[in-house]
Amino acid sequence: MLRIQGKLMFVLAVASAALSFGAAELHATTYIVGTCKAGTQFTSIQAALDATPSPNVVEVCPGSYAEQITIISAVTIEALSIKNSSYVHITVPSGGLAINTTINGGETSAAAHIFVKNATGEVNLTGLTVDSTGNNVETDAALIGILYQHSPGTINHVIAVHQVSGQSTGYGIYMEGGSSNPTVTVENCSVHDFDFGGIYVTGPNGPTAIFGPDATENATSQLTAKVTNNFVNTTEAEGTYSMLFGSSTVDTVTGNVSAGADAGAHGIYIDANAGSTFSDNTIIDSPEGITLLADGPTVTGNKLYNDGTNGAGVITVFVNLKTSKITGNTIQNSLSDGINLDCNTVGALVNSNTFEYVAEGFFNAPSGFSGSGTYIATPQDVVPCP
Amino acid sequence: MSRTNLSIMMLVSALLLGFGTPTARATTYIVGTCKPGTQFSKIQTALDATPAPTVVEVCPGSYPEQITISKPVTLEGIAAGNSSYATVVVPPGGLTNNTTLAGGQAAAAQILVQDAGGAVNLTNLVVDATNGSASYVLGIFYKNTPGTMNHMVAFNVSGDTAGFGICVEGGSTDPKVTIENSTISDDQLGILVQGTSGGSLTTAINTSLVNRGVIGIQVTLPNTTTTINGNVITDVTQTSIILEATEGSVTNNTITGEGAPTQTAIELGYDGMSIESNKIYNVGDGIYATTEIINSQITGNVFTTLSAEGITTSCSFAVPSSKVHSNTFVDVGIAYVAKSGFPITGSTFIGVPTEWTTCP
Repeated sequence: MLRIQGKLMFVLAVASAALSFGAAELHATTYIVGTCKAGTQFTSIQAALDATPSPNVVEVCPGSYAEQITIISAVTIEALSIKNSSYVHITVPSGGLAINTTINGGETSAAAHIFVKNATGEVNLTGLTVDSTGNNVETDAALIGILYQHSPGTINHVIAVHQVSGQSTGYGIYMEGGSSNPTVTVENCSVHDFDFGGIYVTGPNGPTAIFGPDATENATSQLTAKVTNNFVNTTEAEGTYSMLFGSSTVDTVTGNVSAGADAGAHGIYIDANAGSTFSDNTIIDSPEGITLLADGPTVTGNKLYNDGTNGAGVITVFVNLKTSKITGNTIQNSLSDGINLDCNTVGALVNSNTFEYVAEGFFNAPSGFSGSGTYIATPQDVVPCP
Repeated sequence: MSRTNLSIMMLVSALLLGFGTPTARATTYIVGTCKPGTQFSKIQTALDATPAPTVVEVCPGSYPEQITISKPVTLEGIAAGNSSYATVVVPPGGLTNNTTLAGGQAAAAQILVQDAGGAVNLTNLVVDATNGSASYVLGIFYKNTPGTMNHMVAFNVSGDTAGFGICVEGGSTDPKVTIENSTISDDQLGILVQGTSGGSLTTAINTSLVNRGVIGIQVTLPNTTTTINGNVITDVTQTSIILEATEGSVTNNTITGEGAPTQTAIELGYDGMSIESNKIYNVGDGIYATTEIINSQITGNVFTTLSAEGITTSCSFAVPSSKVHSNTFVDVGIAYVAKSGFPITGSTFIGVPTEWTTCP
């Protein structure tokens, strides 16, 4: 009986702890930007963020806000839908965007329109439109719509548009990790009209194995990204990337649509760590659909339509595979190679993919390759390595 | 096992065998030399042979033919060696008119399936109309005939007046036709479902890709019931789907464009067909209704990044909120254009400057 009482006491203690957390929620500091809703009102988002006490929630009225914003602590910023509008339009202040950080391990200057800087708690953005038209970034500095630098949080239903710089260095949403391995979620967003990268996910030193030395890769994750149900589109420039996942990151990427990138964008470019999964994405009109540079991530159940327009593989594997699985993908309507294995050894890890009306199923398949596939209206099922 | 059980099992086996017999007597012909059997060099010759085939298997290769099918048959491309590409191409002399459309126009069909009196099934074949010329060019034409087109390709079909990748017409036998897992690319009009006054037509268009061209899919009156589900329709320059019929639905399709204000995802020209749970990206207008809406249901659609309006309805009629509701708009300039007083219920608006506006 005593023992039972002890347990009961413990339950009560937990319940009261939960209540006190609840009380903290009630005391959340909420500020309003604009005049559409009663409360403590500010005229700019930055002013609300900088106010004392610092806010837990900033609700933004529909309207246009010409600001470059820096966020350094946990907060939720959300657009309000009031009086027939839900358009919180964050535009460039007069004079353009200022350079406010560096990325790629300090190597590249960057002008971030919304800059989330070393926040230790979650920064959540919802319903905002970040429009970098007129940014005036003319040097080779990176132009970034939303930058999460070594910060966790969720970007939901956010629109990043017109990240076009003078030097084709524009990124829609960019996440750079760090030693605390922050988790960032990007979901239900529309990212379009950028001139370099749509959604970019990298370790603290940038996409090192892609654009820098391999030696700076970290075997342990420096960023955990969940990228789901986004729409990414650009027709701006050649050599762009709809979505890139660099080394030292572990990513779950599912249900995204990349479309309309006739001009030259990679669909999904992958150098991520083992444990990453890329599944059920739809990639349309991309010269290169999915490119795999590191062994580890799995690529399953993706649908790739009208890709491979520059003669490259719709899916290209640039590494020997021991862990990665490439299965259950459908490649439809391509004048190019379905899966280019680039003569790498892949064992039985590449199987059960479907090729529908594709010029060549597998290209540069290693000797002994016997990957199963379904071939429909495909002139050449397997082209071996020369 | 008891003796009784055993004899029941034997009886069942005998029955199964009995059902199996007609299949065993199926007449299968081979076109090409990739597989042993009764071989022909042309698809049409195999179809016309006696006894009439139940199955014609076509080896990988290129077949410059205009084909007419007037009996039930299964025609399928087969894989052999390192290829699964059996393609019907335009004969050296070009295409000749071999049929008429319901409206009376003479037309040249590359594969004509006409009054077959039973199911005609086509599988794994490419119909390539490159260099085909006529006033009306049709890649595949099902006229008053039921059947299934599975894993078919209709490519590059255009005519001086019009080109249809696949055209399906009804008729006196009330045919049911399915198009699935197919690729309809670079045709002036991808799939035309055409009703006729002489009988009904039931059509299912599932999990296919319709790419480029002027119009993706068009459904017309009269007497048509059409379901369009799970397709991907990309980069059509004018209208991805035109609905001019009363019965059926458009569900779970993904439609993308290239952001041109002139691109319309779905045009509702007649009240009746429902439009639900589609995902529409990067076109001009999402859904453009020119009709009064009494029966059509427009719900659960998601519109992302449109350069014009989400759902535009006719300015002459009030829209019942029980029929048009619960749609999601992300990055759309104007979500709803509708007659004054239109109540918006259950819809979600993200980054939408104007959620509703009355007609201009």
